[in-house]
This record gives sequence, structure tokens and C-alpha cells, in this order.
Amino acid sequence: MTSKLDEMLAAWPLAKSPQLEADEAAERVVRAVQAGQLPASIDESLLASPLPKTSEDQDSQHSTQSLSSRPRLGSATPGIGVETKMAKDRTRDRTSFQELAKLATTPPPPISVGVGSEKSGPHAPIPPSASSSGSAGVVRGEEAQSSDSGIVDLKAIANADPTGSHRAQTTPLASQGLFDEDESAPAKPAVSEKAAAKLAPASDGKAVASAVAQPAAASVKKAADTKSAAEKKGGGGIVIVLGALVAAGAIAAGVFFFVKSQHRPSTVAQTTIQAVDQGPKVKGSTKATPAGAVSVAQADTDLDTVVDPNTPQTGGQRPTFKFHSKPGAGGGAAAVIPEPTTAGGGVDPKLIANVPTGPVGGGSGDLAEAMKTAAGGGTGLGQGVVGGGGAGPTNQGNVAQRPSQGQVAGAINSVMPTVRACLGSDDPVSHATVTLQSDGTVKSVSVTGFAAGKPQEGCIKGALTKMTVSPFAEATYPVPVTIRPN
Amino acid sequence: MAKLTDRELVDLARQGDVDAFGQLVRRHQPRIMRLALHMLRSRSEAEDVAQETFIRAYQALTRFDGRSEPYTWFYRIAVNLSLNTIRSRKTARTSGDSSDPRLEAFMVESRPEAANPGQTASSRQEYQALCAGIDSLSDTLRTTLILVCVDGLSHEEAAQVLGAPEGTIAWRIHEARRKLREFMAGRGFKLDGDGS
Repeated sequence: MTSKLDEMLAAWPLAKSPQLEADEAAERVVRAVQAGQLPASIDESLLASPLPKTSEDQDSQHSTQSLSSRPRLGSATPGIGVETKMAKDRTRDRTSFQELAKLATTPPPPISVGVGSEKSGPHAPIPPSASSSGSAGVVRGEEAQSSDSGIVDLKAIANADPTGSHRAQTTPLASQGLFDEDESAPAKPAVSEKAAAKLAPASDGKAVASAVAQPAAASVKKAADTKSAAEKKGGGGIVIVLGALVAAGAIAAGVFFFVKSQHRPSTVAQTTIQAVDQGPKVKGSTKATPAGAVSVAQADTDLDTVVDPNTPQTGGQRPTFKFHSKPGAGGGAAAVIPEPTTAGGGVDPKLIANVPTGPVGGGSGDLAEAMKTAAGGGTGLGQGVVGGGGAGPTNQGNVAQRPSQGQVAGAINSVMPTVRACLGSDDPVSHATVTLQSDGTVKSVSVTGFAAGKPQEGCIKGALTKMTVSPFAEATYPVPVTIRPN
Repeated sequence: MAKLTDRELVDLARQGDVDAFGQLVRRHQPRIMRLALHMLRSRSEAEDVAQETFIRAYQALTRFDGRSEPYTWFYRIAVNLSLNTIRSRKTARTSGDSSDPRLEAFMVESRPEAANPGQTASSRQEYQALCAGIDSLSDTLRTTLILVCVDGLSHEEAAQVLGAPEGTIAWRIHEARRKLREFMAGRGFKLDGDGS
């Protein structure tokens, strides 16, 4: 049935005499073609599909999908193709989520372990109630009822299958120890409890104490525990135990070298503060490191805290830490983490500040001195700080070892006009050596060459003495200067 | 000489037979001209577009893959050229005036009811309102409506011309009819039926 509208549209009249006009048009086209009046190139846009899908069409996509009964012919519209592809991708993703939800709720297949007729045991088949809540064994959350978004209600699944957790522990993967992490976890709390027990007497107020760490023994014990656990786990556990032993050995070796490198300054610190009165020495054992620093605490260490009651202090006790390394039973080395917070008393900051400083009384053999000597320096950085035997600047942390070349050149250039003025235009070249001292001023000037021993020497020395550079660490720094007349 | 099909004429034109292509032009020029007239509402522009359509088609004959009828290929080029012309206009053309070539063609056409002056005036007013309604449509709906309802192309042919699925063509026709009926009803013209 067609409406009046369709009749009107279909009966729309053609203009003029169509055939006559068509003949004329054909003649014009043929003439143009024969005359070669063709465009230079083919316009691809004219051959493309006009009027690709618009927003109006997109609004009606659902209706067009139902109306379209045959595949689209000869369409090369890219926009339509992209839309179709995106719709397919969304459908594929949704399907994938549904599959994931099904996989998540699919129970493991029953294991035939020969337990026979034990229906209610861990290997019993899933009760029908577990899969009755969903059509395909999927238990949906309430929020997933309105839209099938793949949300799975794990709680409902657990309620529906009470034996599921037990059954999960008996799967082949569970028997291989993949879920045994929780069993080995209490090992750390055990160590922590041990450390706390050792800390307890130290916190009774008298003093703190020496931390007797027994990492090697602990590591052996730990290895034994791990080994016994590994025997339960099978071959995979043995590999873990071996790896743990290798790691413990490596850590012990690292700690050994670390302590060895730190041993000499510690002894210096030990001698810095003398215990005048032995007083009430309280010796205790504690782990100086928290549970997290097991690697360091695995060394066997004695930490003796000596309290000096006569030493002036602002508050708290002022302990002296003595570090003694003892090789552990497992070959471990001593390790020390001097954390005064565990000692129950405040540590004088001066003590800490003095620990890494230079040799006492300018003594030789200090590591810092050796490093300084190897670096080509003269007196040590730490000279005079503790022992007071050096001549270095007081603020050594901020000064350079020696003045830079730029500074020296600038200082020379600043006084060079005055120096050159001391010589005549025909005088030969003279040389001078300016010795700078650590505060940046000139210590001495020696003149050689033409001006030496002549009246110009005093003029040159006076001019060069005005050189200044920034303070530097070394005691002196010689600067050779060549003086050429203007 | 037996009447050759469009495909045969295209093959001949590809081989250099210009007269064969001229014959193609004679066959399809009226439809192309009517399409251009309805789209452009300007006779001079429609003639230019129609001529340009065939010249461009001859130039691109080698690109014609033969999967569709040649006239649908001409239609596609004509629609593209018409849309380009519309976009290149500086001002929008008003519709419904007496100079509209679509109405001029209606007046020239000799119709049975032309003998009745009153009926002729009534029809003219209806077509004038219909022209305004068609012009109120978007390019997409207007072009699809002209191809299907005025030029008589099937949905499949219109789909080939416009490069859209047949379902989209069907929806466009449905939507164009609905809007036209609303427009005509607003003008006081009662168009019965839903066109289905």
C-alpha cells in the first residue's frame, strides 16, 4: 500500500522534453570527450560512497540491523566498517568476561585417589546445590542481576559448596606446596618473639645491653626448619632450602666484609670515650635490628654497652659500644648495627659525630689517612678535628681540596697588570712562584729570572701578594707565574 | 543494430568507442538530470552537474568494476558532484518560490488533472509544500528519498549508490516520509497512509 505522498513523489514530472535534452547532453559529452576536454586526474572522492552513516543513522542502528536482511553490497565506506568492527569487539569482550566467570566458578575435576566410597570426604563430588544457583554453574552477584557483567559472588559460592575449601587443599597443586606459604610464615614471628624476650631484661631500666646476635645459629636453625618443611614438600622444597643456604652464605660474606671495613673506626670510637669508673655494667643480649633486617642480624655479634656515669651528659645514659666479631657456627661473620635506640638511653650526638673522624692524636695507620695519602693529598681532612695535630681549615666539609684553575687564573689576571707595570717594555721574562695558603691568601712569593735581585722584585712581590682565592683544604698551594712585560 | 545493454556499452566505451558512451548518456541523462534538479534546485547547475557526471564517468571507466549497474555508478558520481556544488554555495537557496525548476517542470507536464484549473492549482500548492518539506530534510534523507521515491530506485540500488546498507536506506526512507508527513500536516495538507 502506497500513500498519497509516495504517489506524488513517484509522479514527479520531468522537465522539458527529456529525450531532446538527453540527445543534446550526449552530443556535448561526446564532443568534450573527443576534444580531450577531460579533467587532468580522476577525482577519487567522486567515486567514493556519498553520504556515509550519519548520527541519525547511528541512532537507528538497532532498527537497521533488524531491517537489513542481506549483506551490504559494494560498500567501501570506512566509517561503517569501523563501527561494525567495534561492535564485534565489544561483543567478543563481553563473551570473554562471561567465559572468565564460568571458569572462575568451575570446580576442579574430582581426583581419583582411590579413597573409594568416601562420598563426604574431600574428594567427594560437588553437591548439586553448588551448581543449582546458576544455569551454567555460575553464581552471580546481586549487582549482576540487572546486567550480565560477569560478576561472580564468591561468598555465595562458598556457602553453596562448604567442602570447596577443603577440596581445594587436596588438589594436586595444593599437595605440591603451592599453598604452604602460610605455614612457613610463623617462622618470622618466632624470631621476633625471641628478640623481644631478649629485649625484655634490657628494658628494665638499668641499662641496655649487649646485643648478642646469633645469626649463624639462627640461620642453621632456620635452615633446619626449612629443611624439615622441605622434606614435607618434596623436591621443590629442597631447591628452596639450597637457595636459602646459598643466600645466607652470601649475606654472611657480605656482612663480614662490611664489618671488617667498619671495624677500625669502631675501635677508634671505643677509645675515644674512656670508662673512668666501671660502674654498674649491665650486659644484656638483644637483637639490635628489627625483624626486617634479618640479613644483618644473622651474624654473631656481641655488643657491649659501657655506661660512663661520670661523663657529662645532658640526659640519658651515654654508652660506649664495643663491637666484637665472632665467627658463627655456620661460617657467618659478625655484623653490627649500632642503633642506640635499643639501648634504652640517649647517645651523645658528639660521640656519633666523632666516630668517623680521623686518627686520634695524629696517629698513623688510620683508614682515612691511608685513603687521603693514596689520593695524593697532604694532610688529612680529618686532621685536627679529633687529634688536633693537623693544620687544615676548620670547615672542611665545604672547601675544595685545592683552588681550581679558574680561580687561580682569575687571581693572576687581576694582579697581572700591576705586576707587568713593574717591568720595562724591553725587559726579559721573569718568573715567580706564589705560594697560597689554605685561607686563600698569599703566603710567600719567590721571584726568579730577570727581576730576581733587582728593584723590580719588590714591586712584583708586592703586586702578587694581593692575589686571593677561595679557602681550600690543603695547607699550601704553589702557583707558578710567568711575567712578560707589556 | 540490436540494442546493447549498459555493460556492453561500457565495454565498448572502454575500447575507445565514444559513440557507445554517447548512447549511455542518452539513456541515463534524464534521470541524472532529475536527480540533480531535485538536489540542486537550479536548472543551470543541474545541467552542469549532469554533463560533468558523464565526463567524469568516461574518464574513470577503467575504475568501473562491473559489480553494479553502470547507471548506479553514474548516480553516485552525480550525487557527489551535487553535494560538492551545494557545499560550494555561499548562501543557502530558498525553496518553494515560483522559480523552483521542480515546480516549473510540474507546470509544463501535461497531466490529466491539468484540464481542471482548480485541481491544477491545488496540486501545485501541494507540490510547492512538498518541495519545501523535501528541502527541510537533511542531505542524507533528501538524497535517499529522491533516489528511491522520485527516481524509483530499489533499496538495493540506492544502497549501491550511497554505499549504505539496505536497512539504513529503509530507515532513511521511513524517517523522510515521517518528517514529510509532519511537515505537510503542519501546512494543512492531509496525506493519508503510512507509506508502508
